Order: sequence, then C-alpha cells, then structure tokens
Amino acid sequence: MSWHDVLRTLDPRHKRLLALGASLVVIWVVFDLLSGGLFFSPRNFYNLAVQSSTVALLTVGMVLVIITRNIDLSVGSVLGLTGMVIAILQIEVFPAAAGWNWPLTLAIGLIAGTLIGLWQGFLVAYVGIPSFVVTLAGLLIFRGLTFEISQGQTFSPFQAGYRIFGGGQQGSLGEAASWIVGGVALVVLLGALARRLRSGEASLPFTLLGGLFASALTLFMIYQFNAYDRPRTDLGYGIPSPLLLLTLAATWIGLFVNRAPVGRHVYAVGQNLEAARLVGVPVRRVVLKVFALMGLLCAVGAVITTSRLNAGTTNLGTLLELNVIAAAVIGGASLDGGRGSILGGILGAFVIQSLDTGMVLIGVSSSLRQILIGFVLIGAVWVDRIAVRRS
Amino acid sequence: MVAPLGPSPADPLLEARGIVKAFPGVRALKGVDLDLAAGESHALLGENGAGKSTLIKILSGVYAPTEGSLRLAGEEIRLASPSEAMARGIVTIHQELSLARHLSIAENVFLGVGKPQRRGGWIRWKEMYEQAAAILGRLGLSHDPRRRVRDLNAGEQQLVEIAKGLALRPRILILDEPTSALTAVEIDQLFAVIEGLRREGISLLYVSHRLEEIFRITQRVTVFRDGERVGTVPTAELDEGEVARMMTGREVSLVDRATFRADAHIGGVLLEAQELSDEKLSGVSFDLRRGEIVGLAGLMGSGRTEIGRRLVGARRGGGSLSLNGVPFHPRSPREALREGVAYSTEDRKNDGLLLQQSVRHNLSLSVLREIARHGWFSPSEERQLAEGAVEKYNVATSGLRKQVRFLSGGNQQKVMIARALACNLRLIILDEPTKGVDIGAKQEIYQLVRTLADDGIAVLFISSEISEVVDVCDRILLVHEGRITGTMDRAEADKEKVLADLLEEGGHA
Repeated sequence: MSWHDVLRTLDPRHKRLLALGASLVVIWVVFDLLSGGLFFSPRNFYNLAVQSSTVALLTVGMVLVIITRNIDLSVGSVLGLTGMVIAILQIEVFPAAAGWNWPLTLAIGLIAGTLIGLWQGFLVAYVGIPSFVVTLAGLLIFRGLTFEISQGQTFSPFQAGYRIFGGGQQGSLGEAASWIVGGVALVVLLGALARRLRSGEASLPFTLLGGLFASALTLFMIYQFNAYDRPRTDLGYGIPSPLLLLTLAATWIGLFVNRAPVGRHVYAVGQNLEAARLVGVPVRRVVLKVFALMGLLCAVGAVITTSRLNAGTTNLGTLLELNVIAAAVIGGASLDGGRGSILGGILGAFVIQSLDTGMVLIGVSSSLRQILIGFVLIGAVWVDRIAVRRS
Repeated sequence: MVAPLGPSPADPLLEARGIVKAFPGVRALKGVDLDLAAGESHALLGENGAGKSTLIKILSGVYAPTEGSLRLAGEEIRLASPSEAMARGIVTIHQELSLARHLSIAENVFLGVGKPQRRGGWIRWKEMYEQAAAILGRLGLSHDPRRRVRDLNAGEQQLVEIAKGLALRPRILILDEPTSALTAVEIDQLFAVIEGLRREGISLLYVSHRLEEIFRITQRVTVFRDGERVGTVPTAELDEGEVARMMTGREVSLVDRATFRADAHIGGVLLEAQELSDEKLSGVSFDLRRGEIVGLAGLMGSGRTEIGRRLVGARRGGGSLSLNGVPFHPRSPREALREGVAYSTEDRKNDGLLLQQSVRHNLSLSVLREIARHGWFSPSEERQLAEGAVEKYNVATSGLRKQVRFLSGGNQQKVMIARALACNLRLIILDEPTKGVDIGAKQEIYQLVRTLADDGIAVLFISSEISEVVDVCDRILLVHEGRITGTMDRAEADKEKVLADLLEEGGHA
C-alpha cells in the first residue's frame, strides 16, 4: 500500500487530526530554525504551553457551542468579569490572611461564570434570540461590568495558595511528578487508541501515526518542561498546572461527548434540530447546558490567567474570543453546525498560539501577525470546504 | 382497456427517451418516454412515488438522468442546471412557492434570468413595472405591480409565481399542482390563461391530482406507476375509472389482502382525539384502538401530517386528546415518547435522520437516555442495541458506522422506524413510511406494520398512496382540507372508491 492509498483510507476526521499534528510540528520546526533555536528553548516552550492551555480550554467549550450551530462572542468578556470578581473579593473584600479566602472566591468565580453561561443559554434556547446577538451584547455588557465594579483599577496580589493555578514557580509539578503524570497520561491515551482500533473505530494507520505523534509530543514536552530550571537551581519546573487543568477538563468533557447522552444530543441538535426534536431530544436544554459549560470554562480560564499574572486587570481576556473561535474553526468545527472535535479544537488552539508566539520571537510586528493569522484562518476553512465538496 | 401507448405526435417539441434515474438503492425512473407536441397541453399523472416529480426535476435541470436522452425540437440537449433549462425555454413552476415575500410583485416577476429592464446595470423601474403589469394582465390580474407579495393571498401569490415563469418567455411550461392553493374563480382564470398560452404555441406539462382539471384542459394524459410509464392516452378517450385503474393497478399485489389482517385482534380504544383544530385542521375527531392499523389517506397538503404531529405535541392547537382514557396533552415529542407515542416523519432528509451520522448513532438517538445509568451509557450496549435493530429490521448496510445518507430510501426508512421502536411504544404514527422506497422494502414495511399491530401496538398509517392504505389498514380515515371527510372499514374499502372519494372532494375545492 502506498502512502497515498493510506491517506485515502483514513476517516476524514482522523485525517484532519493528523494534519493538525503535522502542521504543529512544521510550525515549531520552522520557527525554531528562523529564530535560531529560541523557539525550542525551555523557557519559550513552557510559556507557549501555559498560554495555549487557556485558549485551548475555552476552545473546548467553543467547539461544543459551534457544533450546536451557535457562537459565543462573549468569552473574553466573561473571562474578564469572572477574573475581576475573584480579584476584588479575594483582595479587597475578604480578609487577606484567611485560609478559606481563596477557595471560597475561586468557587464564587466558577459559579458566577456558570450563571452567566446559563443566562446567555436561556436567552438563546428558550427566548430564541440568536446567539450572535446575545453574546455580542454579552461582550459589551460583561466588559462594561468589569470596568464598573473595578473602577478601572488593577488588583494585586492574590493569596499564595491561589497561585498554584497559573503555572510558574508555585504552579508546576516538578520533575519526578511530571514524568509520572506524563507516563500515566500516555498509557491512558494509548489505551484509548487501542480500544478504538479493536472496536474498528480507528484504522491501523491512524492508530500508529496518532500513537506515535502523541507519544513523541508528550515525552518531548515533559523533557522541555523539566529542562526549564527554577531560578538559581537546577530543578526543573515540570508540567505547568494550566496544561494539567486543560488535560483534565478536556478528558472529562470528551468522555461526556462520547459516553453521555447529552454529548450525542449536542451533535444531533447541530446537525438537524427538527429531527432531534421529533425523536425526543430535549433540544433547548442541550443548548442551555452547552452555554453553561462555556461560562464555567471561561471562569476556569479566568482563574488560570489571574493566577498567572497575579493581578486582576480590566483588560483581562480582551479579544480572546477571536483566537478561540479561530482555533475551533481550524480544529474542524463547522459553523454550519453538527461537526467538530474537541481534540481538533485543542490542536487548533496550539497551532494559533504557536504561530503567534513564533512570529513574536522572530520580530514580526503585531499588525503583520494579525494579518497572517487572518489568512491562516481563511486557508484552514478553504481547505475544509474543498474536502467537504469532494466527499 | 386502452392501448398502452397512444399515438405520439409526428414532430414533438420535447422528446424524452428511455429516461432512467437511479438513487442509491432505488430506481425512481426505470426508462420512461414522454413526448410533448408544440402547443399541446399534456397531463402527467401518477401516485406519489410514481416518478412524476423525478421526471420534472430532470426536465427542469435539477437532476441529471442516469440514462436516456432529451431532445428539444429535434436537437439533443443536456440540462446541467435549472438556469440552463430556463435558457432553453423550459420553465417549471413548482408546487411550493418560491417568492421573495418582502419584494414587490414586479421585482418577483423579474427575479429570474430575464431582465430586459437593466441597462448599464441600472434598473429601469418604470419600464419594469409596465412590463410586469402587462404580464399580470395576461393572467387576468389587475394588481399594482408595486405591491408587496406578502400582502397578496395564497391564490394571487400562485399567479405571481406563474407570471414569474411567463417573464422567462417559455416554450414549455411545466406546472406542478398549480391549483392547490387557488379558489374556483382563480382556477377558471388560470385555465383561460393556460388555453391562451397553448394557442400561442407554448407546450404545457400539467401535473395534478385533480382529474376534473385534467379533463378540462389537457389533450393527452401520461400515467406513471412505480417509475414506469403505464400509458399515454388522448384525454378524450378516458374516464375517471379508467385513470384510477391505470394509476393504482398493479400486476403483483404487495400483500395478500384476504389474509393480511385475517387474524387481527383489535383491542379497546387507546387514543381518542376530539375536535382537533389549528390553522390547518378543523374539528378532527377519531379514535385509535390497540392492535389496530388505521390509515389516514389524503392528498398532499390535506392536513394528514398535521394530524400526526398534533398527536405527539409537535404542533399546538385546540381540541383534546386522551390516552387510555387519561387526558394526554404532550407539549413536545419527548413528552409523547414518555407515554409511548412516537412519530416517524414523512421527510427523512429534512426532519428525520442525521444524514451525516452513522447508522448506529441514528438508531440509538431516542433511547440513549434510557440505556444510560447515572448519566453514562455504555458504548458496547449501544452497539448491541444497534446491531440488534439492524438484524431485526433487516437494514441493509455495510456496517454500523456507515453514514445514513449512503443508505437507500428503504433502509433509511427502516432505520427511522427501528429508532422509534427502540422505545417502548403504545402508538406509532408512520407518516408516508413507503415514500421513495423500493417494492421489496415496501413489502417488508407492510409486514412490520402488521407485526406491530399483532403485538398490540396501535398504528396510524399516513399515506397518499391509496393502494397501500387499502391493502394494509383495518380502517381508513379520509382527510381533506383539514377535515376527516369519511371513514371506511377494511371490508368496504376499495382502491377506486377511496381514490374517487378523494378526487371528488378535491374537485369541489
């Protein structure tokens, strides 16, 4: 069997995942060459992973939103508002010394994000306002609220315990634990691939290529994270906590998508709303749940971002929605609804973030970066359209 | 008996020869011929699924034929798109209106390819309104062409649709059920127009269920059945009984009518509907019994689908329902399903199946929540369920992961029915379960319906194919214009009688 034949037998979804993985490798290598080795420096790589994790986390939610044939333009503002709520409560309102302070404010932040999601989901699913309108309004409302409650101020610093979520000195696993966690993750991942191969869901070429890519990536990343040494020591940082949070959240949500009725319902609603309704899918509740999850993920993103910056600022998450939507689309989510994958969205987020970081490293101006990422977005969807038309 | 193939004009304007159209698993047309003389008005008749609309779509450039050839004025043509058909003067006026409701009459009339009023890209409004008014005048309409289409009634809108066709200067005009929304006066007007167009030398292909109209305005009739041409006969040599026989007569009956329901055990009343009414229905009352197959026979647009949808809460309106003597008012199909009432749609593609998802995902969609424990379902249990359904209902598929859109119509239909039956049902509403389905699958579906009834499930069998309603059902309700206009028991039901009743009702409209 020639290389070409192998490609042809691949499921289109699998083909996309492999293509995304391959482009990621190409992007990394090209930027490493162009930057004279800076890209693969442990420090850059660590920061790339932390930044990509926040985008990827929101992308997981966005993929689901897009599958239901909706859009959420408010994610950046929701992240900003929930981050500010946590910052004000933790730093201004509650006693700075209390041990219960940060867990409580964290919980309040997550609840606030979920409530915002429920509110927007209610407007979309039960009132029937198009999600574009609801979340465009949300983008304005929640950013405005952020300024209102903060009076434009920046709040700092957070409690030490809270800072474990943002990576860095307090928020990394350390060398030994990283190898263990990485090993476990790899075993789980390869196990899942093997199960799919046995049940016939995945072909042998995909299993081999995917397994190889995942193993190489995991080992390489942990090697890099461990090579990034804490200041004035030779102890490596290890896996940053945001990446860990992303992995846990994505695994959990991925399980839901594949093993819980609501996951199937998400796809059914996006693909044929009327058919789903007629066979008894609670179509409105499905959309409500997806928006609620999106709100929760925004709050988690807020925790990571505020913890990393050690400050609550008014511009937290500004324009984030653009990268998140772009990542979801590059990852294969179709704005026509019904199609998209979580893993694809995560890879899409890494692709976007790698491009951005790489261009910064080689000194591309921010205006030029925007232009290029815009073209990448069009290119990704263009390729997708061609693929759809062929099938 | 009339000659199967009547005389054909010596020099036809349009000639279709040996047209075959195959869809995955179904041959919708099995090699049909059709001649259309210049200045002839020609009727195309047949039951639903006979292949009429497929042929129309081929003639109007929507589908390409799998085999066969088309000749226009002796020249062989290929129609790659609807606009190509229009450019050659073949204009089709479809049953569903395709008007831009917020635009004016004139803008709608010139929405197509003929835009004589444009010069240098600018629209000459005055000229456009004059030309539109002239075309409306030909149709006997004196409306101001500046009026918005949304302000017109259904009949006037239908005439604007026809005006839109005339603006394209057709040589051949195909009219698909043009009178279904018209009043008697408007029909008279339309027929005068048609007669005028015919005198101008335009050929008309006229599709209608209303025999009375066909006798009034056509010179020849072609009858299709099961994708084949039964015959082409001068209209003058026909009577209604003859036409009904040509449309429904089958060499091989699909069920043995005498024994099919011989051992039926019909139980007590399961569902009672009283005075259902909404925009499409008025005063619909009937009951369904356990183990009974009740046919709901009516033409397209008669309200039969609306009745089915009311029973599962997919439509709202007045009237009351009771199930097992208890008031039953489902607000959504999900609530109906909880009470064991399921609806299987007539339109597999638009609101039936998730075409791009696998057989397995489609089959399990309505029961995932049932097989889930603590919010999770087991993929292996789902697979077993799907495997079981595929085997039990004989779904021909190369695997559970195959996308449903690659299945034939019959197998898609089986997937839909199997999906509904995966739940515990007391009543299943099958809306046109054999539409676009081949004969083998039809037979299987009839047997399945019988098995369900034997198991004590009530079946509401909605169909516009009279012969199957008569063959399969224990009782037939005739639906016309949102009302139940008659009931027939199995013993007294007879194809020609049902068809005559429905056509007669149609003629009164």
